[in-house]
Amino acid sequence: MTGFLLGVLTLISPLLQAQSPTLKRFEPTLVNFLMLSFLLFVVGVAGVLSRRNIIIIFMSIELILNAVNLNMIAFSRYLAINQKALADAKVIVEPLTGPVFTIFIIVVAAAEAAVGLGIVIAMFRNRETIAIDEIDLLKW
Amino acid sequence: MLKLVWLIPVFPLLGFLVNFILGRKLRLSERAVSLIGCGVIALSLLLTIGAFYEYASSYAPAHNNDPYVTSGGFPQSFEFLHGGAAHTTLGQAAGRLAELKIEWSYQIDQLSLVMIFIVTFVGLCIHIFATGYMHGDKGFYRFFAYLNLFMFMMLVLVMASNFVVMFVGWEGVGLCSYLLIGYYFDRKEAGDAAKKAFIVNRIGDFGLSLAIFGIFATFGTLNFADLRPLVAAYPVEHLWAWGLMSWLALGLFIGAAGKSAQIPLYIWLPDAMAGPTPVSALIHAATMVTAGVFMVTRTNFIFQHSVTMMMIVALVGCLTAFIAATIGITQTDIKKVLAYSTVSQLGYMFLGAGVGAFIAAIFHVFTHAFFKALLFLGSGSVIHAMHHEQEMPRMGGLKKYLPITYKTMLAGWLAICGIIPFAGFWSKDEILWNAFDTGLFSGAKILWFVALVTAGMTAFYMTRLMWLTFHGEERFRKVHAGGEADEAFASAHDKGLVPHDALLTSAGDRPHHQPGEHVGAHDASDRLDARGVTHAHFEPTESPRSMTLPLIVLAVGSVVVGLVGIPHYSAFEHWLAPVIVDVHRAPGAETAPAAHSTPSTEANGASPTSVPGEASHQSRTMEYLLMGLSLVVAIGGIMLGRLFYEKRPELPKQWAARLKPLYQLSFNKWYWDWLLDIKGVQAGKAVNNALWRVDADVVDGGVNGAGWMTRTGAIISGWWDKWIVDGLVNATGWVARAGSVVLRTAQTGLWQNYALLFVIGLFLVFVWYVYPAITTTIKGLLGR
Repeated sequence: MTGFLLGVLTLISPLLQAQSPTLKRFEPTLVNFLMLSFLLFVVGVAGVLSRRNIIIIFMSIELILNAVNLNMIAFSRYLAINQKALADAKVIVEPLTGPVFTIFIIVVAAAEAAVGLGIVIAMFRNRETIAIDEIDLLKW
Repeated sequence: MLKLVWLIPVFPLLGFLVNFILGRKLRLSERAVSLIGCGVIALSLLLTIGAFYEYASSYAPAHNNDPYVTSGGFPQSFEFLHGGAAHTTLGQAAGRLAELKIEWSYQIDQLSLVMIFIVTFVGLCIHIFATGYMHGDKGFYRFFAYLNLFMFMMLVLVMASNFVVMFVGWEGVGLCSYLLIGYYFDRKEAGDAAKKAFIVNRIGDFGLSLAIFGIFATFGTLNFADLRPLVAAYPVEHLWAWGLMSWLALGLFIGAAGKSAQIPLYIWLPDAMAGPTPVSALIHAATMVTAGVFMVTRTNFIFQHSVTMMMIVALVGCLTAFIAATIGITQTDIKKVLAYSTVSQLGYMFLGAGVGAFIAAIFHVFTHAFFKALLFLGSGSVIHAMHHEQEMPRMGGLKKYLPITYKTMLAGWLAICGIIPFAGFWSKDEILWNAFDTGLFSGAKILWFVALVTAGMTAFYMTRLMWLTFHGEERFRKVHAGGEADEAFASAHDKGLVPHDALLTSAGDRPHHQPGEHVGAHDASDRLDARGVTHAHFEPTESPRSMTLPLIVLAVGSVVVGLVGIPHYSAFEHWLAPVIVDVHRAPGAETAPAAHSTPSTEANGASPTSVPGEASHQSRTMEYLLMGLSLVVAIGGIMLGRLFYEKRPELPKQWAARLKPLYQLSFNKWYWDWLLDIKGVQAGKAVNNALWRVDADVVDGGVNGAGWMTRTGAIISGWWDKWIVDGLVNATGWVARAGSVVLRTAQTGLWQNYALLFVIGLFLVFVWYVYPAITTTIKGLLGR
C-alpha cells in the first residue's frame, strides 16, 4: 500500500512540480520506469497474497514476472554505458542484455505456468476445489 | 594303694559322663543308672579305705606325718596354670607372676582322709537311698549324673593340694548345687532357689578369690604344704591388731561364710530345700556346706596368725547358731526345720574353729554328717510315705506306720540333741568346752553361754519335730494332705493360673504334675474337696528297703562314730593333730588344745605354757562339770518339747500369742530375706531396668536413629532426584512443548501466509538497505 502510494506520487511528480510558464516536454527517466515496474510488482504481490482463486494467483505471479521484465528493459535503455553507446552510434544500436534476460524470464514464466496448472489440475482432482485457503494439510 | 588315690575322684566323674551322655541316648533303665551311679561311689569308698590304711600304717610314720602329695593321675606333673611367657621374657619385671606354677595335684593327709571318708561313705548311703526315693521320676539318669558330678567336685575340693584346685572344686560344688536344687526345673520356686544359692555363694567366693590373690602376692606359692612354713615366719597378730594375716583370713572366711551358710549369707540354705531330699541330705547337710569348715581348718595356719579374725569367726558362728535355732523353732515344713538346724550346727563348727579348736570343729563335721544325713533321709522317707507332703501340721502319729524310719530317726534325734553316748554329744560338748576354756580372747564365756542356750533350743525344736511327725493324732486324716495332690495346684499357681489356697506355704521338692492330673494313691474313701479335686486318702506305708537300709547304717553310725572322739582318749584328735599349727605359746595363756593334747603334738611348738599337772586336773573337773551341764540342758530341752507337744498341746499356741512379736520375728526368719529382697533384689532389678532402658532407648535408639536418618536421607535424595534433577530434564521438554504450542501456530498450512512472510522479510531487507536513502529523502522533502 505504501509502495503503491509512493509509486503513484512519483508518477505524478511531474504534475506536482511547480507549474512553469513554458511547458516543458515530459521526458521519462529511469526512475519513472522503475516506479512503474515497482507498482506492477506490488500489485502482483498483493494479488498473490490475498486472492483465494489459484488461477488469479498465477496471473498475479505473471504480473510480478512481467514487472521484472520491465525492470530489465528499463535498465537496459537507461544505463550510462548504454546511453553513451546510443549517443556515439551512427546507426541506432539497441543493447541486447536486457531483452535477452527478458526472453529468458518469459520462457521460464510460461513453463512455470504450465507446470503450475498441472499441479492445480492434480489438486482439483483430489480436493474438488481451487480455493487455496482450503488446501491446508500442512497445518499443525 | 596310695598311688591310686587319683582314681578316687575319677570314678564319680566316669559315672557322671556315662550317665549323662548315655543315659538319655540309650534310655538306660533305672537299674543300670543306679548301678553305675552307686557303684562308682562304692569303688571310691574302697579306694579310700585302702588309702586310709596305707597312709596311717606305713606312710605317715615314715614321713613324719607329712602329707602325701601326688599329681592327679597324670604321668608327670601337670601344670595347668603357669606364668607362661612371663617366665622367660619379662624376667625380673614379671615379679611374682613368673613364679606362678599351679599343678593339678592331690594331697593326702589326715584331714583330707577324714573328709574323703565322710564324703564317700555318707555319699554312698545317700546314693542308695536316692535310688528308692527318685524311683519313677522322669529325669532319673540326670539326677544321678549330677549327683556323681557333685561327688567328683567335692572330692577334688577335699583332696586339693593347692588353692586353685580347691577353688575348682569349690566352684564345681556350687554349680552342682545349682543344678540339683533346680532339678525340678519346671517349678519357678526351684529355679529361684537355685539361682539364690549360686549367687549368694558367688558373693562369698569374691572374698575367697581376693584372699587367694593376696596369698599368692605375699608368698608366691599356693600350695598348702609350701605355705605352712612360709606363714610360720610371720608374726602373730594379737587381738585388735589388724594386719596382712587378718585381711587374708577375712577373705577366706567370707568365702567360707558363703559356702557354709553363715550370717549374713545363710539365706540360700533354707530355700535350697526345694531340691529333692537326697540332695538336701548330701549337699546341704553332710558335705558341701562343711566345705567352709574344711577350708578354714586347711588354712588354719593363716587363721591362727590373726586373733582378731578368730574372734570374728567365733562370734559369727555363735550368732549364726543362735539365730538359726530361733528360726527353727517356729517353722512348720519338716525340711526347713532341718535346714535351719544345719545352719545352726554349722555355726557351732565355726564357733569351734574360731576359738582354736579346729579339731573339735572337724569332729563335729564328722558326726554331724552322719546324724544330719540320717535325719534328712529319714524325713525323706516320711515325705515319700506321705506322698510328698512336707508340712508337719499335716502329719502326726506316723510312728506305727513307719517303724524303721521312726527308730532310726530316734537315733539321729538323740545324736543331735547331744545325749550321751550318741555322736552329737561328744562333738558338741568338745566345742562347748573349748569355747569356755579358750585363752585366745576374753569374753569367750559369753559365747559358751549362748551356745549352751542354743543347744537347749536345738533339743527343743528337734523334739518338736519328732513329736509333731511321729506322735499325736493323725492329722493327715482330717486335713488336705498329700503334697502330690496339691502339686497340680502348685504348678498352676506357679504358672499364675489358679490361686493356690494351701493352708500353709511350703517349698516342696515335689515332682511335677499337670494341673488337674489325678495323682496319689486312692482308695474307696476318696472324696472331692472344695476345689473339686479328687483328694487322695492314703495309708502311709514304710519305705522300701533301698531307703531304709541306708537309714539303718547311718543310725548305727550316729551312735558309734562319736566314740572315736571321747576327750582324753580321742583317737580322732591324735589323728588330726599334725594338721593344726600351734602358735599361741605366750606364757600364761592356757590353750585348750595344750590341755588336751597328747605328747606328740607338743613336738610342734616351743615350751608348754602352764604347769600341766595341776591346771589340767582343775580344768578336767571343770570339763566334766560342763559336760554334765550341757547334758542337763539338752534333757531339759527335750522335756520342754515333750511338754509342749505331747502333754499339753495347747501350750504352743498360748506362748506364740503371748510372745507374738518374738514369734513373728522367728517365723519370718528375722525379716532378713525380706530386707534383702527389698534392698538388694529390687534395687538390683531397678538398676537392671535402668540399664535396660539405656540399652533400649539410647543404644537401640541410636541404632534406630541411624536407620531413620538413612531412610530420611534416601527420601530427600529421591525427592531431589525426582523433582529437581528430573525436573530440569522435564522442564526442558516442557519448554520445548510449550514453545511449540506457541510456535506451531505459525504453521497454518496456508500458502499465502508463508508468501506474506516472504514479502515482509523482503520488505525489511529493502528498508535496511535503503534506510539512509529514505532518511535523506524525507529530510529533503521536509527541509525543502
